[in-house]
Amino acid sequence: MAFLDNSGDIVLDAVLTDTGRMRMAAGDGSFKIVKFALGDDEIDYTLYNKNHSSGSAYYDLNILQSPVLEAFTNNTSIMKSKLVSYTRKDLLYLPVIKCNDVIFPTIDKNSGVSSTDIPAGGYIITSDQTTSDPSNFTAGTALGSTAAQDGVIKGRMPFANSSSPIAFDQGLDTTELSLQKLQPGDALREDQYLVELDNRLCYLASPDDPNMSTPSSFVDDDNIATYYFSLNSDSSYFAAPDGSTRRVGLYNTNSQGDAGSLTKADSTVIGNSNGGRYGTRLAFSIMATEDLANSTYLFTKLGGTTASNYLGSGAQFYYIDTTIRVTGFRTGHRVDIPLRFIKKV
Amino acid sequence: MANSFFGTFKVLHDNDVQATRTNLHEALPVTGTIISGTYADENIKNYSHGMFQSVFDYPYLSSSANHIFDLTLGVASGSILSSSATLQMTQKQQMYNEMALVLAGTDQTGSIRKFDADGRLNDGEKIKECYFMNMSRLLTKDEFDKGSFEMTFGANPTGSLGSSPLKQFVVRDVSGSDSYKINSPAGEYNILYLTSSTGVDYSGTLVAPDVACGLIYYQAGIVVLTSSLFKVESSGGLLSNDLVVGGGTAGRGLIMISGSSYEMDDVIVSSSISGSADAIRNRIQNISFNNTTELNSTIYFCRVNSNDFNYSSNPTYISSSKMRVKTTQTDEPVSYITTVGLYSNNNELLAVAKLSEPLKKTPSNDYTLRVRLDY
Repeated sequence: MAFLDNSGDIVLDAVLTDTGRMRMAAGDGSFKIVKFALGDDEIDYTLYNKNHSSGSAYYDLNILQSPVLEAFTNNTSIMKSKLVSYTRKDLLYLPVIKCNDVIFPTIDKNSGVSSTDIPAGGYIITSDQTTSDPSNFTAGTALGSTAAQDGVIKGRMPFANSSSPIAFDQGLDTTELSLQKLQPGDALREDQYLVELDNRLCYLASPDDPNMSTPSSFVDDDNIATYYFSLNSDSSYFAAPDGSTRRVGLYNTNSQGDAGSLTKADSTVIGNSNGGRYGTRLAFSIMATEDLANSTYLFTKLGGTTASNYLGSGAQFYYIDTTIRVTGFRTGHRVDIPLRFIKKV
Repeated sequence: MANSFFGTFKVLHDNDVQATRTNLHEALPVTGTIISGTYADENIKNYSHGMFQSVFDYPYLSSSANHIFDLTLGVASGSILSSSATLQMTQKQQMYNEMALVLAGTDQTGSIRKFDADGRLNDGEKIKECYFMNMSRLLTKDEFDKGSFEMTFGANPTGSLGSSPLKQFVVRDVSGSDSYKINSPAGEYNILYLTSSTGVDYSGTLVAPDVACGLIYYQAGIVVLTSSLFKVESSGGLLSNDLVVGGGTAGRGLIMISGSSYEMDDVIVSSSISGSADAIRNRIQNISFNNTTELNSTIYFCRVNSNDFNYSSNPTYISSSKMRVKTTQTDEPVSYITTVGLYSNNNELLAVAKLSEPLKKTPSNDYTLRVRLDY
């Protein structure tokens, strides 16, 4: 009888990330590994061929031949997609997170804007009081209108208001399932979120009051701030329970209501009026930092200047392009939203 | 903040984390031609202070050069050679005292001990004139591997390296792997022995094979060689009188500086420290030792059970929320592992490990991924 092949014993050498080294150097006990996650950043699942003519052994042949990159030591450049555990083996659908461009449309939805240079699905954020003041620009344009404009966030007080929180909907984005809600306790329903952004440029605030800044969980060595939101402890950042009039709209996040109370009128981007499973809705305001408001240093270092008469405003602007990342803590799905910070030259 | 078992993270419990310590050894051969010859001494750096000489593995003005070792000479204050006429005597005594203070320590009166030939720190024989070879930390790492040090010197009387028959003697850490001494303030050390030659034409010319000729300090990475190592018996040294130039005991012993008639005592008295260092450096034919790196590791046992991590949040995993790898509910979910991330309680990614190829994960299999983090 032959010996068993035990060559599958897997020993991996780990490398510290830059944040790991920073925590270790701090010597304050913050370097403590307590959990692990598995990632599959290199895998393109579209290569999975369930119709391969040679049989099931060949379904994932191309995937298994995917070269794996060496570890990046930048903590935000790796583990972008994580593997997820669900006790159920019969799942056919997995939840997603989508930016809700119905509640607060993105810049590309603004009919008065022909070109903004930023990718579709993003927002423009004014970075100082001058740029936030409509009276400084051509009346009626995206920046010169006193009314809230699609895709334009007033990033500084006193012009910032609760009319422009960014909202994210979570759920099963399919029309193959009937219109229902994901009930509390359902593993597919996300109730914790991580939001990552560049701490030099912006910070988060309450969706109801931009004056109320949100404390970040930590800021890493690359100035990436991470915010943690939990439905249980940060309910003001989630869609209101039934009956509330919060700006971000109903989503029955906290309720046990039946599916019949949900309609497309709830402004969801999950599924359509005939189908989909609604999970939770997260919302927050984004504000520009003092550094952006009172200095052009970061604009010249990280960005550039727009053409004149940008957005039809009659002015030229400094700009910085960045992204904000929202990740479901339990479900792992993440979405990156492009942002452009502008400041009048 | 709540930790999720079912989700994207799995908590590591106490029995999933183990600390280990491993000693890694590297074999380091240093050929004599690098130390003298190949680079026409452009890899030898002498300093204006004249206290020691540095040896590099490449011309030291190049950024590619690595430091190999420093070489210097020390003379104890009680040495019969410490006359006022001795060149750089103050510096030679300073070097001896500095090295002795660090390596041998002080006695009950606070006086610096002299290097003890047998390591007993009693009133026995002391090493009063000696060479110090301070190996670079780059090479020795945490320490010499005990019992591995070996050094070969050319012993042709006139110092001509290429002459025939080849005469060599070997200095070796003979007993280091079995026993060593611990009464030094600089850590563990041992006695170096002059052993029989490895040269086929040189057998039997040593006076007393396996006689003590110096000390090796393992953690400090320093070798102390008595000057007697380079003297013949008639001059109070350890080498055979066969090596006297011109034959017989009336002649001079090993000629240490080419072009002169200096033997070792002349070198100590009349040469600068750098000149003295040149004298023995040119006789080095080979150095070899193993270094030791003490590797402290924490091993994280990432236990991936059958129900764990069978799905993915990869954006390509789904299309309109529908999984690509399943078409019916009875199909097994499948995912592919390429990376293991280790996180803090605050969800900061502190360390990361990569697999060499994607690892298929389904409910039908489980793995324990042992992730080692070295410090």
